[in-house]
Amino acid sequence: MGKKTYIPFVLIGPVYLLIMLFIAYPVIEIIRISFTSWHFLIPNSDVFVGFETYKAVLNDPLLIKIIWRTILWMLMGTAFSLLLGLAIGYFLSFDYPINRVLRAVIILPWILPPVVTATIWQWMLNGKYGVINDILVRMHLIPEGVPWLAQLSTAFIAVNMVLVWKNVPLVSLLLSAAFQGVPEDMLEAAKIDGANGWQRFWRIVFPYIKGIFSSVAVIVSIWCIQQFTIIWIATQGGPANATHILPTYIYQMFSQNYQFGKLGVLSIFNLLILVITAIVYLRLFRKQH
Amino acid sequence: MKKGVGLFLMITMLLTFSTALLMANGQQEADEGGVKTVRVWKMGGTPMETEFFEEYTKKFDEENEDINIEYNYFYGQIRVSKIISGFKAGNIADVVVAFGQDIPDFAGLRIIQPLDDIDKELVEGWKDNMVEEIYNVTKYRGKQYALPTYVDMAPFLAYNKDMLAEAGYDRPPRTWSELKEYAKNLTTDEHAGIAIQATKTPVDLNILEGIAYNNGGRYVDEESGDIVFNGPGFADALQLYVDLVDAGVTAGNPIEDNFKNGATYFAEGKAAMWVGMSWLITPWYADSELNWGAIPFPKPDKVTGDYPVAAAVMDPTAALMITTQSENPEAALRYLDFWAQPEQLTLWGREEIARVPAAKKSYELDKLKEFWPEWVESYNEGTLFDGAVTVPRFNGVTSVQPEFGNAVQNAVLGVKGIQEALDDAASVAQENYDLMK
Repeated sequence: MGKKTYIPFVLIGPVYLLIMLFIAYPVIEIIRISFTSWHFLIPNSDVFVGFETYKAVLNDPLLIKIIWRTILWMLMGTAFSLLLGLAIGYFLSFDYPINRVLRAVIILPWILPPVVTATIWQWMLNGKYGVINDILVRMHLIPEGVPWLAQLSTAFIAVNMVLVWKNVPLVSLLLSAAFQGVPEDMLEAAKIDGANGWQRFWRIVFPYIKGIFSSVAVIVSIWCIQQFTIIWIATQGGPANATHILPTYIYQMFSQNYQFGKLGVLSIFNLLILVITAIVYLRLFRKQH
Repeated sequence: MKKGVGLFLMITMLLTFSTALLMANGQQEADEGGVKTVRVWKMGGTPMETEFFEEYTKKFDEENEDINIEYNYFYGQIRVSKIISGFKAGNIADVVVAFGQDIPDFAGLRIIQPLDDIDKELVEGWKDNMVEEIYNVTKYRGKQYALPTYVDMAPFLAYNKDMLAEAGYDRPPRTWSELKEYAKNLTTDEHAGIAIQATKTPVDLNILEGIAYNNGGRYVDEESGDIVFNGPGFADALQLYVDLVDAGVTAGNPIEDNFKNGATYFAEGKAAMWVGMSWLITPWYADSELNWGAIPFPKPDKVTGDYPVAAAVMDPTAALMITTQSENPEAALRYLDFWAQPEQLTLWGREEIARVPAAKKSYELDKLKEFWPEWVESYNEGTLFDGAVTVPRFNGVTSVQPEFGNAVQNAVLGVKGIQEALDDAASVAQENYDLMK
């Protein structure tokens, strides 16, 4: 009896302690900091000020833009990653000889460190000597090089596409595995009943992989929202703050302004967006199951 | 259940205790036998400087058996956050090699200590080997906080002599209006008239600050404590940049291309002129056949700023400082003293010629005379530092400068008018500055 009761606690205990130490404690500490006026460079500024720091942050017109941009970043990144991933994953699920090679090659963008990815794309998208411009000019699609990362109208979309480029491989492979699990006999039966390819995909294949698709959607949206490196390396939030999202703005707040109180508030906002995203997806899951 | 939890806690405590013991033992071993450990963090620098800094540090280490140097190099752009975080964590090096511009922030936070408080006589003795103007550039509130090894000065203009001749010019531009005219006439299908940079990189901002100081602009009004980079001195300097961009005479994209890209455009013949700092000589990896010259940046046609005109701004970007957490400040000072000796100090001028050296003897070196005859001549005449002031330096500059960077980008991109962009940025910068005050 005794053995039965204490063994689970012993096994769970270390993990529980680690979670408390590395997840619960930082979250609690961030919440505490958000209620202070702590400035890293000012001695004795770590004092409780109620909602004063929240008020100050909410009065920052730039922040409101950044919150919306963060949501847009997540939505765009997730939508494009899933759409492209779905198409490529479906193609990869067929047993074409070339797919054996493609399945191995396609993973390359995913395994590249984000710093390398961002640096490569920064060069490729450069207005003067970037290879993307070179190709587009040679194809007569644009008359001259476009500084994709240095224009207000293109910088945000360009960086978001870099993120999509990085996400798509793993999404495709995960969905390709899911597609391969669709029973052949169901597809055969639908074919005999006269369903065309499009109908077979939407009526049989997609409903079958919907569960996995939702899980992938949750993971991808979290990848998107916690992305920092790609933006920071490629644009540092510029030009003129046009590509800042919450994680990059938080880092800037740390590395340039040292206003930890504000940094705490921004982190709470970031956490809230993540929690809301997770709740929405969990609800969708529950409905499905 | 209690047994299991107890066992777990005991193992955890044992592990923690043994780790702490090991760490303490390591520290003890390092300081055993009278050997003092001095940790050095070098932040940024040109490739050549980085190389010889490490080499000569090793030399010092070998020559001084009672001192053990632990040397680390870090990327220059992270220096402020690295140093402040290290200090807050109680784990900063004894010696940091950083920018003179950082001194007010670091001194205000008591991260660094005055060198003359450790050994006044020794520190004052360095003056004998050093150019006085450069020695004084690391003084703050009457105390010597760092050993400067050189300064960078801004703004300078590099020009391609062949391209100017082709366009019918026999001399470089002297005024802002001439500069605009030259840039327009020098722009061809093959190359742009000028390379300028409007990124938020501190170096790029320092260059524009230098141009604004030429026009009687200032960052902060020392008397009132107001941020004044929205005054006419800065506004007109920024207008010059906007005019050049709008005229379509700039190389690449100034928002995207930093000083290194500017140098590359110039070196590759894709820009006829290029604005930079005194390290212009480095047109990194330039074709040796490039026929070029350099002059102080052209002056405004009419000074519009409210403050005295400064001929140039200067900053030592490899200044050696001793931290307050150093357990061996005397040993650390010996390391600085090593660098203050002519043999080491003349490395700038003997090896690295892209900087304005601090050592008097550097100006006697043939290599410096060959590459920078104007500098040496001007130094011998006693005019090299006439009208030069330090780059904007005050407590809080680290958080104020990025706001100026935002204003520059907003204006160049046309998101806001010049005055509006500067006013908005000055208002945010003022809040940050007041917090630090």
